[in-house]
Amino acid sequence: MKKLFTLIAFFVVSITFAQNVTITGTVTDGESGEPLPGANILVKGRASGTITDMDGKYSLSVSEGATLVFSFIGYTSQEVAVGSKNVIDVALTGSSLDEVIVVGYGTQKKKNLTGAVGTLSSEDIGSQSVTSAANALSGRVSGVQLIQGSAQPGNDAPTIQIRGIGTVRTSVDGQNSDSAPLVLVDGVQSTLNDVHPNDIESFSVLKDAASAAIYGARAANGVILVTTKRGKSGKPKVSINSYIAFQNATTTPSMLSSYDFARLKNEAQTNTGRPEVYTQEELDLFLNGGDTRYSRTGFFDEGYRTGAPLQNHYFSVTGGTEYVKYMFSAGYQDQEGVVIETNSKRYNFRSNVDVKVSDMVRTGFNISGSLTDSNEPNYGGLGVTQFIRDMIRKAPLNPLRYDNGYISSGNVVLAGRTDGAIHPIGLATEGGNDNTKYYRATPNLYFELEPVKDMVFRANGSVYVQDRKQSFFRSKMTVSDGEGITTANGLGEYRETDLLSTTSTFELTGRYNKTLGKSTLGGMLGYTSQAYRQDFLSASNEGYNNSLITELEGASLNPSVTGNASEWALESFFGRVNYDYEGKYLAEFNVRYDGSSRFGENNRFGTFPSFSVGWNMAKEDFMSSLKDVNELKLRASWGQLGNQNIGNYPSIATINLDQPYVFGNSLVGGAAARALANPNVKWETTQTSDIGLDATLFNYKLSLTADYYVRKSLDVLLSPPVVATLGNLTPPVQNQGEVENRGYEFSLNYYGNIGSEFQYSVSGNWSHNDNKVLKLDEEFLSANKVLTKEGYPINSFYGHVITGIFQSDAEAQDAETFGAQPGGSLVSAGDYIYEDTNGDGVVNSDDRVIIGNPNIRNTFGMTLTADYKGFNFRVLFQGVLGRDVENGVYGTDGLRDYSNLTTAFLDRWTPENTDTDIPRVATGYKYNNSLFVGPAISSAIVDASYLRMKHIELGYTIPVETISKLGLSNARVYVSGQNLLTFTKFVEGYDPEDAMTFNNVNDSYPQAKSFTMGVNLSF
Amino acid sequence: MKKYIAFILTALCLGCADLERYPLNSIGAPEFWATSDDATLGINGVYNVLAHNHMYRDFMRHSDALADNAYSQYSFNYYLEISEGRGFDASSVWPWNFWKKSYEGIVRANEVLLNVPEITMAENTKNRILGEASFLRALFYFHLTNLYGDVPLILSKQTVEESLVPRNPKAEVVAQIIADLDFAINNLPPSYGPSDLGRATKGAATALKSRVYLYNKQYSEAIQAANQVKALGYDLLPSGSYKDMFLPALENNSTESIFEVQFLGKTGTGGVGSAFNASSGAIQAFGDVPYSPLQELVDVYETGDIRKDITVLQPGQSFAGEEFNPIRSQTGFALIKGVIEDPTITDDGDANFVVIRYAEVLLNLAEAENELNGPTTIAYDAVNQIRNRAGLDDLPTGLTKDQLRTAIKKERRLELAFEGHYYFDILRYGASDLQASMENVTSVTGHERVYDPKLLMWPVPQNEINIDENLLPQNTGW
Repeated sequence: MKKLFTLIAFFVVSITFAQNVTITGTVTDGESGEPLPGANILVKGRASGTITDMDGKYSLSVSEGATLVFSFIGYTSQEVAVGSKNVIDVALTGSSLDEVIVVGYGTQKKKNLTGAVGTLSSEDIGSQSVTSAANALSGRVSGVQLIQGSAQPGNDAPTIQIRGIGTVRTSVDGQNSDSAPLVLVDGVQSTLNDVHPNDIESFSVLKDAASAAIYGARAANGVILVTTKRGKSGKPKVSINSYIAFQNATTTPSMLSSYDFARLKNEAQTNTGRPEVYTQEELDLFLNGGDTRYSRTGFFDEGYRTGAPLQNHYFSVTGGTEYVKYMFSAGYQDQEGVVIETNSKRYNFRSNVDVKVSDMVRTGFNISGSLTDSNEPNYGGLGVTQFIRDMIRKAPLNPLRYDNGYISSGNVVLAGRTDGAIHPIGLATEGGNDNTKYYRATPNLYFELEPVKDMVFRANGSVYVQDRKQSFFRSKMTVSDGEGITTANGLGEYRETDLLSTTSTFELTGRYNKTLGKSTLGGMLGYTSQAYRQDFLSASNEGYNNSLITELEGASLNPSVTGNASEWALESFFGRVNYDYEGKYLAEFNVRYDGSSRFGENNRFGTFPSFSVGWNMAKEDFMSSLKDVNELKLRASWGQLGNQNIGNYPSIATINLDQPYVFGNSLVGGAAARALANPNVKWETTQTSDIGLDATLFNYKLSLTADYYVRKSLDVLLSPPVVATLGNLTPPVQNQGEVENRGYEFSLNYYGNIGSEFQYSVSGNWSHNDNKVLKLDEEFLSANKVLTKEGYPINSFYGHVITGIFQSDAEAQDAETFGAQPGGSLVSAGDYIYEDTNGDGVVNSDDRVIIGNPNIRNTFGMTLTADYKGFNFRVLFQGVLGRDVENGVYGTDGLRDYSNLTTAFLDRWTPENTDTDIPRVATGYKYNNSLFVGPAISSAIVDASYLRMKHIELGYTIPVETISKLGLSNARVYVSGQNLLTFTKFVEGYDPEDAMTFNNVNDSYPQAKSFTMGVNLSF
Repeated sequence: MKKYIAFILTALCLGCADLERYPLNSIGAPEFWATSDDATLGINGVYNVLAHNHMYRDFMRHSDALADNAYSQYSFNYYLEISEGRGFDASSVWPWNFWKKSYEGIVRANEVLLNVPEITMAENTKNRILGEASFLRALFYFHLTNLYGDVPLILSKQTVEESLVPRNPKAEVVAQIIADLDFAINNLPPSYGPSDLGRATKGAATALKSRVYLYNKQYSEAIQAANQVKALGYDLLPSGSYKDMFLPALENNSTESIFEVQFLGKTGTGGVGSAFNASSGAIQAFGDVPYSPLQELVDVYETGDIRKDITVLQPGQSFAGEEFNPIRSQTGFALIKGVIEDPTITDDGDANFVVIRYAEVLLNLAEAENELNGPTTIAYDAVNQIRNRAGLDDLPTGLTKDQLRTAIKKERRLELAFEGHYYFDILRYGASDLQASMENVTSVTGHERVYDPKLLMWPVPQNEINIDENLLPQNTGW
């Protein structure tokens, strides 16, 4: 760091001068021939330059042999060597006209695109510091929803949904993976966790069926194509990007202090006719101190770290000759978590080599790999999630350590009580460590043959190997109840697991393009096969007396071992034809014929067709008078995609061998069927219709994309329940039901400048999605809270409506007498009033109604950038409008045992405080106010909408002449902040992005807000 | 050009994917049921169901909390809803869990009974396995008839399409239970070698038959079956062994115990430990004892009854070397019958669950004899054997039939407390006993129990009716 500042100081004082010649000329729009006022002309490698006048003319003094760079916002830059010329006229073309984007099995000029594809380039991402590549998509691409959930280092990949949830099975299993899109990195099925963000050249998100149909069976939830950087001809270019950041939790849960807890616990005991637990003397000790056995500190001061450091370093070399081009990179990230005892290191490398063997033959070998090494507290075998939950749920009654120096066992000696758990901070710091390592490698070899111009055959093979090695060490602890000491936290337990998975892919494609007069016809045919296998092994031992040896050989009590394996395979044929008439009329047809091992012989193969058309209206004569319209394209598409996410063997009936029993005091094996199979199960089909519009206006300054889509999932794969008299077996997967996602998306970019020095851009996007189950034979309720039912969104909250709080016992008993409470539970003043929605005089499970929708309705993002004389500023806002989440911390479980409550309960109902919507406190199980196990209640459904300043950054690019002496071609320093500002009405103390699924806001790893300083250097 | 085509074709074949993929961790159903090993694995898989939470690992033991023997504070187990009659309806979880688990066992037993006859194997082993399956199927159906009355009688393999069945009359199901038990009696051995200890015996089937007849008021048959058990050589253990009968010290190895659900403490993956052992640790370490004997039970013990201190931990007493702190229990008492005295056990424990023992057979005999022939010597003698072993004197002579019935009920309640009998006994005694049992509980504030005649039977689970309307009509009152 110190070195860097010395360098910068040096650059600032060194300025050079040279002898000049004068160049004049005009800069025009290449399409219309109109002059371009305000275009930039810079001398390459120097800070000097000028801009064109109102007629597009310029005049500039330069040294001979210089190179001029002509640029204009929205247009592709051009470089012209001065040579002996005195007049240089330049026609620039709109950059969007040339923009080439990556699509399935190929590339396409954006102007010829007929499907709905969202893109994000490395320039757009800039130096935004994201710990996981997927986070770069947040707020950037319309139609893409990121649900963050846990932000734990090494485990912070968000859940990605493209255009909503299409498959009902998600809600059956509670597994979001079923709605996750297919991710391909350079054409190889992979995960975004594997890629260093700086390696990424571009993202392409294939949103509609027409774009994604070429991926057939796996593409129902959309496709994300990631392209990594590749070498270009020229001398080696070295890039170094480094930053360090300091992170804090965005917000800290606000829980009752020991004094308030004890006070409310007493009140709750009294409210339910029980004796008080804490004496006045004890309350005083909690409030004022005086006895170290009575704690006065909450958990979060020690459990959360402030200024947790994060550093990320990236190094790459690119370059090449006519015959060989290369890109090597290496990345390193070291992140301490905002929760103590959590951290993660990640090492990445990548090598992309392309070789031109002859004019006809090209080949290349790419390999990338990574190691992620993450730690978290073992925490009694339950990990950091339970640690966070305990910091929220446990009352902070005991000190971390007693005066004898030992960690509290959870006993409160004086009162003879116990909360039965070692102090959370003590258990987290001394209870052992869990480690997860992911080793990933993806070698990929290709050959390309171009026997005739524009006819290319390509074969490539790749293997994606991932090995997850985990170790779990639960160490014995010595704890104290304030007097004696005792051992706790198990027997000293160690477990090691290994999950090796490989995906081998082979692909063969051939493509040919032919221009005949005004028509261009292109075609592609391909074959691919893919095989997956995973092998799992787990072994454990117990009896570790200390933490010195954490290997399996370190003990020999209760040894145990288990393992399993599974496989699937795919085989597919696909093809594409596209037609283009004068760039005006575009049409494309795709088809894929997919076979999967997951389906029985009867339905092994499925066909997925799609077609799309486009009309570039701006090229029509009748539009030529509209000078402000540079481009205007209408698109329409229709297509079908498949979903095979149903487990590996749904069509095969099996007998499980994991049903043991005990005879003669020894374990013996047992066998039984656990699940029903359906030999006729077939693909779920998702059918998407999309109409869209792309426009570019005002000299390419404003571009706009809008889409409207209807996405229907047909023959939805789900497991409707079957009667238990079949043997209490897992229901077979069946094809039934229909789900619809319908929505629109806008994105807009505006580039502007004030003079030649100040440039700015505004870009924004908005996506709306409505989810609805169109057909479903059998509704189903998950976790007693969310219902999937015909006519409603998937996973709608289903429960009781709370209309208020009983203000008097008489009122409450009246209601009780008339059965107007669920199950006729005992109620008093201060308890919730449940609505008798069907008016039958009794409140019971029949009164439950839909009370919320956890599906995200709107997502939006906005980016502003400004550049002035080497300074650049950018800010990204991102948000969600319309998402309901159950507040899992609200009321937790009503002061049962030693469960803490949020400070919201300081405003609970009491006879003195009646104007509140927080019910009275009560001990133990009270059906009325508790949502611990009961059905959802409307008062606990909260709006998780938010607007967040995701990223703000100020950078300075040091002028080239200052740094060129050191061989640097680019040097930039910046400071930035992440998640610095959030506007939300979500639960106080919780981050709206914490909520992964519908109701687990109470144990999510906290989001970080961070302050970053970084530098980007190129040689 | 030719060589390119050759290259392409070669590459294609290299890439050929085999789409025939079969499970690697489990056997395809058609390949199973081929050898005697499969038959053994299959019958063991039926026993496996017994060790589940919703059967003997948790529910049966704690079913006493559904009557006035105990209180369960944990709402998520639904004991409260059922015991208090509040919030208990056809959608409640317990009736569904128990229904599901019972049919899981029944269908597994059916699979054995349908497939094992086809296997070529030693005839005596085959018959024994078929006998075990018949016994277990009878046990599962017996529980079902006690809680739900009429239930579907499933004896063959069904497809999803065939599965929407109606309920069969209880009498028809009971007849099948008796037939299964008779088959078991004829095919099961009286005892096993060391490695098979825990399998159902001729005695288990005979004793269960006496219970089934008693429950169905076929008293002479109940007496006959009880006498047949005695003839097999079973007897009561001495007083000094009473406590250990429920602990690993004596499991599977006493003249009194007839059938036990087998548990083994922590043995790594696949271990089958009993949940209730965990309460040992709970008494010492946790904030609240989840299942607590009620004051109303403690009051029933006569002075000198050794069973009181073996069953209930009371204030002032110590357990596992530590004085019991009654604040940890909602009732001030903790259950210790069958709980291993080892505070380090906070997870699965070793102790078996005694399902059938000779003391019950004697009480079956006493009750059936009294109902059939009045207060005879046979009835007196059977009850007095139980009382004497508990350290109590003989019953006073000259009791009327009603008085003796009351005495037998009390003895059954105390002797078999927390062994999965009391709640079922209360249900079969009928409405007035259930009402008395519920209204008797006043010692836990805020948990008064509200009687409703419908509570005599559980509702057919609504989740099942939702799929199969043929299960209607629902039981009375639900």
